[in-house]
Amino acid sequence: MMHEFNMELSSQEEWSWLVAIDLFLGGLGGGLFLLFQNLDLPPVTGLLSLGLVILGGLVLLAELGHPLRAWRALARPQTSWISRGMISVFVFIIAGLLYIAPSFSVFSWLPWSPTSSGGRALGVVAGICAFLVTLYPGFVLSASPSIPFWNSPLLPVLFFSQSLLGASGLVLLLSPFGFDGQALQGFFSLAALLIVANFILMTIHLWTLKRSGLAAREAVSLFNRGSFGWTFRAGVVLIGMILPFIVVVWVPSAVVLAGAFILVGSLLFRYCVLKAGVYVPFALI
Amino acid sequence: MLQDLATIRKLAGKLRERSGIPVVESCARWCETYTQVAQWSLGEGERFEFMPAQEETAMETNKKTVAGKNGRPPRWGMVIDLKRCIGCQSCTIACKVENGTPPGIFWMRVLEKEEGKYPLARKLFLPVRCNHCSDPPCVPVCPTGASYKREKDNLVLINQDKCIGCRACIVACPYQVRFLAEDSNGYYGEELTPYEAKSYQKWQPRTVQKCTFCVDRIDGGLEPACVQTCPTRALVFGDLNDPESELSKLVRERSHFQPRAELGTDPSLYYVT
Repeated sequence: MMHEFNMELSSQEEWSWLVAIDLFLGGLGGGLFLLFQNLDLPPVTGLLSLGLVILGGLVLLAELGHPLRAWRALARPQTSWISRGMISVFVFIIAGLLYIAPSFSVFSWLPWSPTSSGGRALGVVAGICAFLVTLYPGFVLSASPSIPFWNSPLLPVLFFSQSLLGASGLVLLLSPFGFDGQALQGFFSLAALLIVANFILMTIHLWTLKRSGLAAREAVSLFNRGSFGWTFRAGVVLIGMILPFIVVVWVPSAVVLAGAFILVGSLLFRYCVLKAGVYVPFALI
Repeated sequence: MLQDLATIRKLAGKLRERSGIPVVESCARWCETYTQVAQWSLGEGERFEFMPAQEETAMETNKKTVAGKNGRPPRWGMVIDLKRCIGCQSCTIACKVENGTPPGIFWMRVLEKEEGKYPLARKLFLPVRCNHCSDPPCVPVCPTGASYKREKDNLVLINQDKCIGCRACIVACPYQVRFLAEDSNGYYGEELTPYEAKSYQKWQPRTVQKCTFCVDRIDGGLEPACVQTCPTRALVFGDLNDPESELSKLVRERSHFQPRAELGTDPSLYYVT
């Protein structure tokens, strides 16, 4: 990366699409597992959630400078949110697999079931880790003190709610494969609720930053100009929120489309958050 | 020949002790180069050896400093006199030469900013580099412990064998002074010059690198290359824990600020104005 020799405002350029995809897949997997556990979804959705988190981890490996050293990232849970996230991912995959496995006939010989006390304990561990998997990216970003757009306690909440929204979008997308009408009706309401909640949270975040310092204002103004502005307004807001809201409320027959829209918006949301990482510039006092 | 060189080194050492003029350091560096040339002129199996008087003195000085003048370990720091900085980028080049950083990466650089309009326009300069903070945001975010603070003298360093290249520290650093070289290409492409082949051993591609305050030189009792090179003596290096050091006096006597002090990172770098 070429570094400039001037004191202008600049955005971080280290994390881009690959990290956005990792955050998207990880959040989607974690959120889907939480929905699977709490809304009695078919076991295959639990398995899918594990697959998504594993896929996200593989994408993250591709982003690392030295993927073969990735095991070292487990070494600093006392201070590093990346380390905590990696541990959560590992424990989630192991506990989640053990929790789900007896639901499939191939593994029916296992001495526990999801409803036994051992199975329930595994489910609790997997659930807590899934929650952490959806939450930790927000904490990783908010640990950057000189990027005001990220350095906010609202960011982990936003990432969590986006994870749930993405997961509900995935459920809507997969709805033709084995959901009855009654269950689906509940997901319409959930998706609509999550869209509204995400919209409100995002508005609060942007509105607060618009009234903050120079770098924060610059980050918010990025959302209103150029191709990046279009990515946010058309991708995150229109495709990711407004259109799916209209569909789930008024055109339920096109629910698959709404699911796809939500997923596109959810991915672009991660990308936009990463690209809006504007540093507070050096100042001569 | 040997006698002559030894005499030069002794004289350089004495001059440096008395005057502290950086040019004497340059003389010592010239002697090192001369030694290298002398070594090349010898046949196989013969070894040209002498311990430079100047380095002996500096190393002894360093050992004394490390022991601590007031019972406290040193906290290496730097004062940058913005009234003296003329934006010549000598420090930038000296850092490149000393540390052999790859193309596009500058561990030390001088930022420029134009202010005002003609005829009242002026240019401001701000040398920036790792501030070796007492409470560095880059260290706790590192998931492997590769970024660490050396307890004996407060230097923030990177263990490149542990770094996985996740870039979390680059993003967390408020001063944007951590870098990652995507490859080990030199200024002339994949084939490195002999100088690059040697100097690139200081870092690994796809791991994070940054200013170390020239830790090898400090451990050897020398000042960082940028400080030694600065023609206007805008950069002053020393022990912030020693109230008698030149930089402690500058901080005491002159108006100053620490970069982004509001973040609570407590940088070991002061700008005096």
